[in-house]
Amino acid sequence: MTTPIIQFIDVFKSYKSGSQSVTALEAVNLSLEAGDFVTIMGPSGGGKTTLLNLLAGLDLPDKGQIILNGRKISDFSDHELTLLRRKEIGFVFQFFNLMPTLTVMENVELPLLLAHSSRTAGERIKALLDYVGLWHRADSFPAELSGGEMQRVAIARALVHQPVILLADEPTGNLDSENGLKIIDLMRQAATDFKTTVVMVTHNPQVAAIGNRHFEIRDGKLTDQTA
Amino acid sequence: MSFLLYFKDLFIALILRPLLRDPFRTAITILGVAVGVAVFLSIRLANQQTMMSFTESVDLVLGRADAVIRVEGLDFDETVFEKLHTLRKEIKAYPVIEGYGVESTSGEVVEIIGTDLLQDSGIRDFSIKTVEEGLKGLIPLITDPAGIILPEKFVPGTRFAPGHTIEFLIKGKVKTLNVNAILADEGIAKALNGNFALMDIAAAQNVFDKVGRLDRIDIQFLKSDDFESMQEKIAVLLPGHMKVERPQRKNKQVGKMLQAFQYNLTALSFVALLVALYLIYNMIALSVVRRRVEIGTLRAIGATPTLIALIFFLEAGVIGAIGSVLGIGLGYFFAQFSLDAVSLTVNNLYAPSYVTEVDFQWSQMGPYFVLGVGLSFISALIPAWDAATTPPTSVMRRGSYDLKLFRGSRGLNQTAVAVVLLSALCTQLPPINHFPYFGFFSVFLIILGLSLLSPAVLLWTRDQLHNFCKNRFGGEGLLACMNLSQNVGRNALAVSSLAIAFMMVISMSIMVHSFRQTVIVWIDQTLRADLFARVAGGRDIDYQHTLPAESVEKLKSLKGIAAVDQFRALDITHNDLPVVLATGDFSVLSRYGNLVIKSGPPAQELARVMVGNNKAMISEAFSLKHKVGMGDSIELQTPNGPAQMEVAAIYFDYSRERGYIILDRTTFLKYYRETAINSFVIYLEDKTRLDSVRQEVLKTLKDHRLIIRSNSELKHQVLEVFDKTFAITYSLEIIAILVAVLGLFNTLVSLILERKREIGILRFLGAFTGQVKRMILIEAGILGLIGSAMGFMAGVIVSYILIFVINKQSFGWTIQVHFPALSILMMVVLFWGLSLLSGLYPARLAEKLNPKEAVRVE
Repeated sequence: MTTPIIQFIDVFKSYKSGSQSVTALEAVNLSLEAGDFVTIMGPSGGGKTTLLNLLAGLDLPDKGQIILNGRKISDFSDHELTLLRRKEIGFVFQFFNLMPTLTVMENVELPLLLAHSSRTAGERIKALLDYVGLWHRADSFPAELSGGEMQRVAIARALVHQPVILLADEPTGNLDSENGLKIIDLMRQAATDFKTTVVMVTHNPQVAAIGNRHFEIRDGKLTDQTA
Repeated sequence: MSFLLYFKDLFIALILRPLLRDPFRTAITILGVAVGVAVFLSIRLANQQTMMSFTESVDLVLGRADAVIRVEGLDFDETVFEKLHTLRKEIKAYPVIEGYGVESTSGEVVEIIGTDLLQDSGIRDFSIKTVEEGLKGLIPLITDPAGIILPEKFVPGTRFAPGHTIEFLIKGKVKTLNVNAILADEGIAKALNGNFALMDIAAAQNVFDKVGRLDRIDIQFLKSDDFESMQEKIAVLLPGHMKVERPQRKNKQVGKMLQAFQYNLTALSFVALLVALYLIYNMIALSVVRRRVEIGTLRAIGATPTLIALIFFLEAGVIGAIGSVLGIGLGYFFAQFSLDAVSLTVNNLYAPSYVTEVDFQWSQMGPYFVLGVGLSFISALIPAWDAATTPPTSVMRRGSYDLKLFRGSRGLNQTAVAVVLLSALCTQLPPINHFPYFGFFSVFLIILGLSLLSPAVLLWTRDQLHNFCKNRFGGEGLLACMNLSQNVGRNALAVSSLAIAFMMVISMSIMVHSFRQTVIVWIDQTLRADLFARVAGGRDIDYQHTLPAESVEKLKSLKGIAAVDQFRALDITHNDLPVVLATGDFSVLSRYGNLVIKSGPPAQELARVMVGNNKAMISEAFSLKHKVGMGDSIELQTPNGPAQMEVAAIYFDYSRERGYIILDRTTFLKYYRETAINSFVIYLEDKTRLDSVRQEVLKTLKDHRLIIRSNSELKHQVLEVFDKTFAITYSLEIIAILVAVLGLFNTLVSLILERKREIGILRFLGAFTGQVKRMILIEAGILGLIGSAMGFMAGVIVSYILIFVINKQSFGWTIQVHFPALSILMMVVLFWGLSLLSGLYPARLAEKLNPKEAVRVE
């Protein structure tokens, strides 16, 4: 048996909403292997985004442990968490979240520039843009792209620093179904080609069915729905 | 009524609450507007107050006079008064002596008027409180040759009562006068802010050494109101050089004299207001962006575009109204400071000013409130239009705003170039009524051109700095640089307001420095004498105090003195504008002294041309103002009849903006028969004997109190006055800069609030908080850099317009351009530093943003 790449051990997380405390995650246990394509479904307010935030190190659990690639990140400092995101985690958002003032190429290069490690990355960026089929739009600005194209750029950006984990928050939520399927195909392909674990949150059962592991989260409780 | 209640609810919900949601930025915007309004108001109040004090004092002193008879700059024989007797059925004449004295306990200059006290209440309003009742009280007022009457509110800090004696320094001599009565605080007693005293005409003639002479005759028309016909009738009885004038003439002349100075100051103060308006634009533009979903919702449920526009107009109106009210209150305090500065300059350069307090009336502040609110509405025009005209679907669709990118506008650039070219054309146009309207318009066009060009400059800078920022500062550098083209309207306006404020600083610095250097060179070349002496007890600005020339003649025989040049000046008018008619001894000047000649023979040859001839030398300011050149003839109305003087030379002078006509003393004496002098200069044979000669001079002229300055002391004093004169301009510039920096600060906070999501994404992508902070600081630095670079370039251009168009046309002075390189460099660094500083708080704000909240916001 291989070592899990992501482990949640009895994780609790709650928020204050006004004067009330709202439980977002309750006793969540999760263990994912490297290369898994994981989909998480659930109603709004069920705890999907909280789970992703904890995975990304943007939030810390109230109780329990999160172990990522063998390290207990729930004890990390903000600096260490930032380094973790910079080196090991890639993000794909529902609304693409490209930088409007940067070209396609610069958007892809941005994570490397933030890590001050872009000097030798020219070839890698070209290869990635080729991979997502947008090298010919390298000098375009996001405003000149279609929704599907923007999401492909976002995927290239998420992969540029060769992350161990790719987190996707409803990546097809703002696309038509044809483009949505293309994006899912691309992500699945990327997970294989780049040996990346993908954790994707979705509302769409069709999309959710694509993962090799499938979870549902409701009222903060995570259940494994893998057939 | 129900409509009002309905409106009140809407007003609270849609306008007040959104403003209160962001109290810090609302407060800063209001503060900016308040400071802008306050600065503008304070300068206007100070200018108005100065002018009003002249007008009121002149009106009070002239009383109900319909005409005034006088000789420009001189007194005249009182027999003229008797000649008017033939018109006794048509006019009533009131003889007047005018003089100044320095009150010894306070050191204040006091204007003393001598009138026929028994008759004078017919023309002037006053009420005398005597020690004793009835005639017994009045007799000493008329019979005492040293009697004086003081107003109830005499010079502040002094306490004189009837029975006291008071000492005045008059024409260099101490005169002790008897306070015989007090003027009740009404009518003439209110003139000149207490720096006033009244005497009987005979006593005044005695005290001012004018026995048998008069300075003025005030005339009241008994039958006709037709000034021209009465003027004609009176003039027939008078010698040709005597003038019958309208009483308002003096006010008009002072008004004309002060016009250029006051307009220049008002224009400068307007810059702070202009810059403050950007703050409102910024606030409203951000409000539109932040409330886009609300706008979409309102549109979706039936709100018209007009209502949407109205929401933002009213938001601007609320800020403008609160800012204006605060600004008006603040302006009252600023006005006191401005008034001191304005009075100082007016006293030094134009005419005696006694105003000490600002007459502030809330009831008169309506126009400033309307100006503040009106300009606030104008600054909300673009964002309100934007909000009203964007379709609701587009407003509500996520991301549609964020992806807007400015690619430059050829039309905007072409307009900017056309505007700058038009500005260049305006610099070539002449003044209108001696005022450089086109010069000011040309500066306005430069400001407009600067604003129109700023988007293009932003894009150009973005392209130029792209690689540098990316390679030097990494991702945060690249983003900071590329963000210049996002929200380009806002960035461009922030940069423009910075550039405009900095432009004013640079241009004024270059102008003032050039002027100062020119004056330094000029005084070095011109002031060659070793000692400069004048009678104590007068001001430099008027020529009221004289010395008998015979006493000064004695000095020529003193050991160690090579030559003495005697100076006399009269305030006269030419083409209805005030001019100084001055005289000097050209034989001494040519041999020992110097003048910087613009046209005509060198100073050393002037004696040959001027002495004994009907020739005049004129200053550059006079030549330009009156369009008089070499060889032209100037007609002077002298006590010896009209005299034509041919212009033999034009010289550079920076001491009086009204301009000089200079005659040789021999020519002056021939026509004016006035031997007394105002001042004299001494050239020494041996300069090491300066102190002993100074003592000798004081001893020889011991009957007169003199102020004697050495060459270096006088030069030092000239520069001191110069520096004080321009002190207020520095204050105005600093305020404009602070408001502009406030604008940049506000812009950066707005950009952060708008880019919350982007900043959050950066944190998702692995940016440290320090990198986010650095990004904002780099952006502040770039905006500051562009602002200072544009401001510097425009400042240099505007300094040339100030020097060669506005100053030249306003004052007629040729100023050599001198660049204060070191101080400009320091200012650029300081300005840039301030821009960076303004980014500190916004950077901290960005750093503290919670990334997951920021991203979820959408």
